Amino acid sequence: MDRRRVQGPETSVVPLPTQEALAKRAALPAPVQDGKRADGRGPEDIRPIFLRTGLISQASGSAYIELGQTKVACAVYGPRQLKKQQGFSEQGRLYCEFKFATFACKKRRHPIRDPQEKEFSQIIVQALAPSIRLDRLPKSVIDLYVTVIENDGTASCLAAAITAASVALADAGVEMLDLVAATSLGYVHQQLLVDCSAAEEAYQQHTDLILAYMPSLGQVTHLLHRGPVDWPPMAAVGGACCVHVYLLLMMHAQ
Amino acid sequence: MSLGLISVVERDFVERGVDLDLRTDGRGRNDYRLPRMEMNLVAQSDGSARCQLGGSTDVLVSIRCELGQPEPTTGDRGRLAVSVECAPSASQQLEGRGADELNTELAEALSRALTGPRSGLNLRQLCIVENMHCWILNIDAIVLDLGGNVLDALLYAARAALADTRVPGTQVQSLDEGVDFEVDDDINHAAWLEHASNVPLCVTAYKIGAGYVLDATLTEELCSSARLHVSVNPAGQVCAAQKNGYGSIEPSLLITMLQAAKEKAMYLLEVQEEQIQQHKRTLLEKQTRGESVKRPSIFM
Amino acid sequence: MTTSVSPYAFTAETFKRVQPEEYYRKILEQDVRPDGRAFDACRTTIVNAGCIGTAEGSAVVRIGDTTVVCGIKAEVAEPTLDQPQQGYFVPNVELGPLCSARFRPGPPGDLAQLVSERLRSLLYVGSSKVVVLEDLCIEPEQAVWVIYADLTCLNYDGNILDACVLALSAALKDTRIPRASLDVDEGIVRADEQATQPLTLRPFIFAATYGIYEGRLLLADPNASEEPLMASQVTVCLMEDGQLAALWKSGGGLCSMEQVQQCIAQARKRYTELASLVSSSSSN
Repeated sequence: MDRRRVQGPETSVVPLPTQEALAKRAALPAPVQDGKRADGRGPEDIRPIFLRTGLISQASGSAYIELGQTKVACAVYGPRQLKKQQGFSEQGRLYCEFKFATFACKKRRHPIRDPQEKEFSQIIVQALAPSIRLDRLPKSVIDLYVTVIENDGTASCLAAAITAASVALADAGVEMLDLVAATSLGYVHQQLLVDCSAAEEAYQQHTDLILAYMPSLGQVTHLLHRGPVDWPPMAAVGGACCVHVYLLLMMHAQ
Repeated sequence: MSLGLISVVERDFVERGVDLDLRTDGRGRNDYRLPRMEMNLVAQSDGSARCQLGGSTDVLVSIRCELGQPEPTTGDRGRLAVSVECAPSASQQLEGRGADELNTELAEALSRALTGPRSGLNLRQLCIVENMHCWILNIDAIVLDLGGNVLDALLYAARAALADTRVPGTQVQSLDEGVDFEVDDDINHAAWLEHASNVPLCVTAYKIGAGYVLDATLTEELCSSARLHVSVNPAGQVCAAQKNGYGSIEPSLLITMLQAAKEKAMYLLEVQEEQIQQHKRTLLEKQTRGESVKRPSIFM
Repeated sequence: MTTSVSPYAFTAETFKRVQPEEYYRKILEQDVRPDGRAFDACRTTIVNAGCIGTAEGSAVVRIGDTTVVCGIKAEVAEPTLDQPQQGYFVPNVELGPLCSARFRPGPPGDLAQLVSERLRSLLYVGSSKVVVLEDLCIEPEQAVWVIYADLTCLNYDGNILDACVLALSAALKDTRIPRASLDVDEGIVRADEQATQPLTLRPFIFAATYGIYEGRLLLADPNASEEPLMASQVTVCLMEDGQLAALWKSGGGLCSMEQVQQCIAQARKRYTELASLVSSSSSN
C-alpha cells in the first residue's frame, strides 16, 4: 500500500455506458464524409497548434503545446553534473520522464508510471538525442520532464511531446543541430488521416505512425509504426507534415 | 540498450568492413545467421520455443493459458500479457535492477508486434463466457544470452511458441444463478491457436557508419548508431516498424533498410514455417505411437 | 551607481544569490517587496474552469507564477462496511520534478503529502466538509461514486496550499457526474453520459497564507524565494460566514495573537475576492 498518497477504495471501475449509448457507439459514422472529418478538417490537415515557451518559470527552459484538445507541458532542467553513482560518461546524457496526468485520459491513470509511459520516455530520448550536441556536455545530464494534461489521441500526445520537448531544449539554450518536428498519422478504414483525435483512434483496426524528423538536416530521428499497411504513401505524407510543423516552429521562433 | 564499451579502433574496423560489405564474421550485410529452433521444451507450459542465433543469442519463450476476466471494452475477446526478462547470466550489467530498462523496451516492442488486431491472432477464440471469463495468454520470455539482435530472436521464438500453443477446451453450462463452465483436461480437446501463422516476424536493420547490416552481432550492435525493427506478416505487409537508438537515419537509407528487412523477413517466415511443420509431424508421430502427451498447464 | 565600480562589487543578482536574507532585508526596509508588491498584496490570481475535456471537472489556477491544474475523475466502487451510504473523496497533490528543481522524481515528497493531507482534512473531515458524501451513493451497500481529485503542479512559485484549495474548489464546482444506476440482474453499474448532474457541495472554504518575517512583518502570499526566509507561516482557512475552518501555523518562529487576528482579518477580504473568482470561473 502506498502510504504517501491519500488512499481511495482498493478497486474502482468506470461505470459501463447505458445500452442505448452502446448501440449508438456501435453505429459509428465513417471517419471521413465528403472529404471532411468530424471536426471539419481534411484528411491530411493537422489540428491548429498553440505553442508557448517559458511558461514554467522555475525551469531552465520550457514549452507548452496544444494540438487541438491535446495539451502537453515540457520542462528542461540542467545541464547538471552527473551523480557519482550514475557513473562516468564521455557524452552528455538526456533523461526523460513522460507522464500522463491521472485525469488526462478517458480512463483514470495511476499516479505511478506504467510501462507505456516508460516506453514513451525512451522514445522521446531517442527522438531528441540526435539533435543535441551531447558531445559538448561530458559528465552531465539534461533532465526533461513531460506531463500530458489532456490526451486527445495518444499518438498525437507523443508527437506533440517530442516537438514541444525539442522547443523546450532550445528555450533552455542547449546546443542543438536542428529542431525536431514530430507528427502522427493514422489509417482508419483504409483512409489516411493525419493527427488523429481520440475519437478517430477509437475505430477498430487502427494503424498509426509517429515520425520525428529534422528537416534542415534531412534526418529521421524517430519512427514508430504499427498496423499492416503499405509503407511509401504513409511515409511521404508523414515527412510532409513534419516539414509543415517545422515551418510553424520556425515562424514561432521569429 | 548498448551493453559494454568498444574502442575507437575496433569501431573503425567494423565500420570500414560494412562499407566494403564484408563483416567481421565473413557475412555480407544482408546475410542472416540461420536461427536454430526447438519447440515444446517446457513441460509446464501450453506452448514454448527456444531460438538461438549464431550460437550466442539465446531466448526462451513460454506460453501459459490462464483464466481471467476480459477488458470491459472488449468483452468478447481474450487477452495477451507479455513479459520479457533478461537473465543476469546474459551480461554482468543486467544484475539487480540493471535490466529494467531493457526489459521494458523489449516487452513493449514484443507486445506491439503480438497484441491487438495487428497480430492476426483470433482473440475471440480465447473468450469463454462473454464479458465474464476468458483465457489470458501469458507470454513470458527469458533472454538467456545476448549475442546481438535479441528482438528478432524473441519474436522468432514467440511466433513458434504461439504455433505450439493449444488452448484447453471448455464446456459452458447455463445454471439458474448464471453461467458456469468446466475446463477439459484432455489435450486432444484443446484447440491450436487460430491464425498463429499470421503472426509477424521481426527483422532488425542496424545502421553502422553510412551503411547498414541485418542481424548484427554484439560488437556490431555497439557500433550502430540507430536501428530499425521491422515486423512483417506472411501477407508481406509491414505490421510494425520502430526506430531505436540515439542516432538518426536519412530517409533514403531508411527506405533501403526497410526494404532489405522486409525481404529477409519473408525468407525467414518460410524457413520457420518449415521448422514448425517438421515439429508438428514429430508430435503427430509420437501421438500415434501412444507416447504420453502433456496435459494443459492449468491442471499442473 | 558610482562611476568607478570596484571589481569586488556585486550586481544585485549576485547579491541576491549570495546573501538572500540581507538582500531581502534591504529591500523590505523600503516598505516594498522584491517583486514590487505591498506587504498585504497577493499576486494576480486567475481561475479557469472546465478546460480539460477528459475530466469530469477541472480547473487551472495561477497565483503569480504558481500554476496548479486540478482534474476530477469519477469512478464506481463498493462502499465501506461502516459507511454503506457514503462515497469516497480522494484528493492527491502531485509536485513532480516538472514544476521545480527542488522536487525529485519518485513518490510524493513531504510537501506534497502535507498538502494532500491538509486538503483531505479540510474538505472531507468534520463539519466543514465541502463534498456531501451521502450524495455520492448509487445503491446503499452496493455501489458509490469515488471522486478522485488529482492536482498537478505545473510551476512551483510558492504558496502551493492556497493554489490547491482554490483549484480544487473551482474544479469541484465545475464537476458534473453522469446519472448512474445499478443493474441488479447483471450486478453492474451503468451510467448515462448524456444526463449529467453537478455535485452537491456545501459553501466553499478558501485558504490564505501569510508569512511572518522576523516576527514583526506580515507578508501576504509569499512566493518561492520568500518562503524560505519566513520564520513562520500562518494559513487561515475560512468558511462563507467568516468562521474559521482551519488555522495552521508552521515553521519554528513565534507569532503573537495580534498577528493571528490580523491574518484572519486580511483573509476575510481575500475570501470575497476568491469567491467571486470561482463563481465567475465556470464555463457552464
